[in-house]
Amino acid sequence: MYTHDQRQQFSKILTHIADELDISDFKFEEAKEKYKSVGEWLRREESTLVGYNPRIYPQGSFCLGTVVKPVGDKKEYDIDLVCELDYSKENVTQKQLKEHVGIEIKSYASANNMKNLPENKQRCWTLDYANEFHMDILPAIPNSESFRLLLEAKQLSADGTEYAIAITDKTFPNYDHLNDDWPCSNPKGYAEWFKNKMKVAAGPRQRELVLLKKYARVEDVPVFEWKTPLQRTIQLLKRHRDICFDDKDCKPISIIITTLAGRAYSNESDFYDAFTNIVKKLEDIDSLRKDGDYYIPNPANPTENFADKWNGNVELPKAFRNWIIQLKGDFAIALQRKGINKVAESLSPIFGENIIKVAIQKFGNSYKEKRKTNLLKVSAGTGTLGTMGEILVKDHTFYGN
Amino acid sequence: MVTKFPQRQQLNLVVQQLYLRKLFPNADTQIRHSELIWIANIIPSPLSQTYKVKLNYKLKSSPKVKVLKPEFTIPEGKKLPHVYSGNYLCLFYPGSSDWKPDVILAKTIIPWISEWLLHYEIWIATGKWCGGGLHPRTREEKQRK
Repeated sequence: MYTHDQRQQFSKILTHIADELDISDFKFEEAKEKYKSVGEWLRREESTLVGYNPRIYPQGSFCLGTVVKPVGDKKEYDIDLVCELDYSKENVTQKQLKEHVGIEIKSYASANNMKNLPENKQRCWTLDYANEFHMDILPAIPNSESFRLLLEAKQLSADGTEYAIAITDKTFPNYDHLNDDWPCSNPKGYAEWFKNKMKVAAGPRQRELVLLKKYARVEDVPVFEWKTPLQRTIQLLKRHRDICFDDKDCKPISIIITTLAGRAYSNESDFYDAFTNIVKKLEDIDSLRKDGDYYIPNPANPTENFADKWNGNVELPKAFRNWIIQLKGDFAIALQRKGINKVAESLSPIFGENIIKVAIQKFGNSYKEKRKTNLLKVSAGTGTLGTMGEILVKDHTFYGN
Repeated sequence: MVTKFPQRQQLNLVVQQLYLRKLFPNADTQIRHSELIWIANIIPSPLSQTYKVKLNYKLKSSPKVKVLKPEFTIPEGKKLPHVYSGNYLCLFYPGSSDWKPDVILAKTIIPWISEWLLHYEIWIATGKWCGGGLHPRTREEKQRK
C-alpha cells in the first residue's frame, strides 16, 4: 500500500511530531533542577532524614523518556519521584516513614515560599509548583531480600529484583503497625526491563551522542536521550489518548500503554514500522487474558497486575480496545491522503492543530537545511526530492509576490 | 555508449532539450518557433500530490514556469507566496547568480520547481513558507529608504 519512500517520509513527519510532543530540553532541565533541589534539601546537614541516606530519583515517564506535553496551555507536567531511605521495616511503620518524609517535604515547601502546601496522598506526598510542575514524591525503603522471597514463594521470577523497594499505602492493612507486609514496587527494575526492550534500536543514537561529545561513553547516555521508535510511539499513543479521552475516567493508564508497547516492540529502527506493528498488537486485548481474567504483569514485579481494574470494570478494557480501533482508523485516513497538507490536515485532530503546524514547519525547514548544505537531491524522471536523487538541488532564493 | 554533450558555453535550446529529455524521459519536450516547451508530471515528495507543470523558455529571456494541474488551493484570506502575476512560479532571485542563460535548466530550474511545490504544500498546512526566499520591497519600503 505504501511504498518504502512514503513510509520513510511518514516516519520523518512522525518524528517531528514526537519531538514537538516531548518536553523541551529547557523544561526538562528545569524539572531536574527542581527535584535535585528537593534531594539536596533532604540531605542538608540539619535534615532529620540525613542519617537515612535519602536519595531522590525519577520514575515513570521522566525516567523512561516518554513525557508528553500536557494538552492545553495551562496544565502542568507530572513528575513522579521516589524518595528512598535506609530504613528497615523492623523499626518503622509505613505511617511513620510517610510522616517522617513529610516533615522535610513540608519544611522544603516553607523554605521555598511555595504557595500550595504539600498534600499527603494515599502513597505519596505532592509538591505543587503552580502552573509548572506537579511532583509526586513516593517514600520508599530497599526491599530486595523480602521481594525475592516473596517471588520464590509464588513461583514467580523477575529481573532487576536488586532494585525492589517497599512503599507506603494508607489503605493497606497494618499501615501504622510494625510488620513485614508492605506494598512492593520496583521502578528501577521496570526501567531496566524497558531499556532492554529497545537496546538495539538505541545503539545508533547513543553512538552519535558520544561522537558529538555530549557523553563520554555509550553506557553513560541516559534513557530519556535514547529517543527510540518505542519511546516515540508511546508518546504518540499517550497524546492521542489524551485528546480522545480528555479527563474521562475510563482513560487507559500510561503504565499499561507503556508495558504493552514495550512487549510489542521488536527493535524496529523505522518509526513508521514500529508504530504500525505496535498498534496492531495492542488491538488484540483478548490475548491478554489468563484463566479468564485480564493479566498485564508488571515485568519487574509479576505479583502486580496492571490490568487489575479491568477485571473489576468491563468499561475499561472496552474503552482501551475502542481507543486503539479509533487510532487505527485515524491513521488509515491520514495515510490515504495525497499531499503533505492533506496528511497534516488528517493528523491535526489526532495530535492537535498547533503541534502539527510546528512539526510540519520543522519538517519543511529540514528540506531547506539540506539544500543549503548541498544534501538535497531530486530524482530524475519523477522530480522527487530526497537525499538519493541524481540531480543536486542548487542553493537559490525564492522571490516574487 | 557514451553521449557527449556540447560545451556549456553553447547552451542553445537544443542542448537544453537534450538534458531535459535525458533526465526526464517521460516528460514532453518540444521546440516550437524558437521556444522550448516542457510539460511534465512532478511528484515533489513521496507523500505529495502529482503536479502537471509547464516550462516555457526562449533565449534572451527568463524561463517561465506554471502549474497546469491541479489548481492551487489557497487558504482564505491568504496570497500565494513566491509567484509572479499570472501565478508563474518565482524560483530565483532575478539578477543573481541563481540563474544565467549558460546554466542547464534540467539541473537548476526543474529541481527548484519540485522544491517550490513541496514548500507550497507545507505553506498550506502551516501558513509559513519554509523554503527561504525574499520578497520584493514594496513601493512604500523603497520610499522610506
